[in-house]
Amino acid sequence: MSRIREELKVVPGAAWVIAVVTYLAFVALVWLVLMPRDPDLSPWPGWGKAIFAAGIPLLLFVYVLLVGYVNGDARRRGMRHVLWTLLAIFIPNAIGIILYFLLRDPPLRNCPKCGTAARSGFAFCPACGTAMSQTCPECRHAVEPSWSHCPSCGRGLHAA
Amino acid sequence: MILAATVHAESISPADDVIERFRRGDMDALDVILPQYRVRLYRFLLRMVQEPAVAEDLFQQTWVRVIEKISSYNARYRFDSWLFSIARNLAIDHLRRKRGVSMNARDDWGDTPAERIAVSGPDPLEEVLDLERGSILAAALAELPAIHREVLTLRFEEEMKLEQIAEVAGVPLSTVKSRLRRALESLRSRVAAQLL
Amino acid sequence: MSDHEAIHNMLPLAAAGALGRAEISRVERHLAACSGCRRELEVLRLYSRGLGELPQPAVPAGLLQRTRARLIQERATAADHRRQGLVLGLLTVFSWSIGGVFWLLVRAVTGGVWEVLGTNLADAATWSLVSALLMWTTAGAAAVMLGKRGEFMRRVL
Repeated sequence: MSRIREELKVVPGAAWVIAVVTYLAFVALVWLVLMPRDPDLSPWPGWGKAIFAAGIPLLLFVYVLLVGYVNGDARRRGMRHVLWTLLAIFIPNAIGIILYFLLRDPPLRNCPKCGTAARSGFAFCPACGTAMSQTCPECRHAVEPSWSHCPSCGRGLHAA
Repeated sequence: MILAATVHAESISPADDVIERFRRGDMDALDVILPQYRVRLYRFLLRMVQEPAVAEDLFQQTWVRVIEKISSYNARYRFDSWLFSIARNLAIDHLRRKRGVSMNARDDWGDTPAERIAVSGPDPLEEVLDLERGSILAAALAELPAIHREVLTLRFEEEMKLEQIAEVAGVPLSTVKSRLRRALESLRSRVAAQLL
Repeated sequence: MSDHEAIHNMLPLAAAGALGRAEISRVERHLAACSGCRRELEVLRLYSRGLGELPQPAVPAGLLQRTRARLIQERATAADHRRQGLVLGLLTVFSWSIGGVFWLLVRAVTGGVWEVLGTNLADAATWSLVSALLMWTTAGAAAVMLGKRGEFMRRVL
């Protein structure tokens, strides 16, 4: 649950505002313009119309929030946030948002010493040089603790 | 003697309550279980796939699978058998992918007729010094089909009962018996081929 | 099969200690009389002992450490994959729904009829078709460009 709260913080404040405005605008649109005019919807019972008018624009509310999330998340991952925001808005049917989730970069890591954000593959901090992950003793590339050989130079990583 | 003692000391299975804890999801139990299978599991995988790098990778993969499937582990079966059957299947998959050969050979001997040397008189292994016997057997073992290596190492190195080997390999007891018989026969002809 | 042959076939199992008590006594009775089988059993026992005393392989140093690291890594990856699967599933449902919502809005604004090039776009079927077409082309183009990991993008844009 707190995880969701964490992620919601990524959505910029402006997006929340736009989302609420959009929601209210469309509730008004549906209730005042669509309902009376549409021959299929007019005969519905009062509460049915109310649910329809309140519920459908909710999806647009979520849509705006998702675009906001794409904006904030792309920014904090060091991606081109303007480009991704545009794609999220303009590719129909939220496919741009789906693409974002499929193609996004891994999160940036903070250097333990100076706190600068660095991309996830880096072995050393670009600002202060402290080691940020285990490295191969020979070629100094980043290696995972579960590997037994370095994928860059092939050297055995354990004292054999 | 010390070597034999070390081998057998590592054969003590983890206590049932540790296994039960692990089955219920206590991952700390792994800290007790892993060291107890370190030598046995690695040795078994190495005998099967012959390459140390692959054996290590499969060793890691076995434990990954164990964690994935621990919730479906039925405590009625011995943990040993279950663990080794997972390892065994990974090894067989690797060998199959590598050579594209069907490992569950029908009823063939695994060696060509020309190599079934009829040995009469003293067996060549008897002529060999005690010291060298181990390495000659190991070399011959490496040439056998995987199915034969499997049953020989499980019976003679892991000292598993035939019923347990049947559980590990997923075949009936009668199949294990006939494989064991054939494995010993083909081992003898391999040794003879090497020494003559 | 003669008795001798039957016993001869049981000898490898005998050397492996895999016979039941009844079978063992049957074999022993035969061995008392047959030197050939006694010889054979001796040889098989030699192999049996040899297989139990093979040179032991050296387990690589740090194997358990690396295994533990791998287990932790796999756990995190599996959790990540599950989370991503859930998000993508929800987004797919959302995608279908939002498609419907836009259609409703077009209906509202145009009053049910929107003539474009001779067809009524506000009609449900036509709308779905056109919308899907538009979606696939823009999404496909974006995916191709982004899939080249920015290389194409840097050159074109």
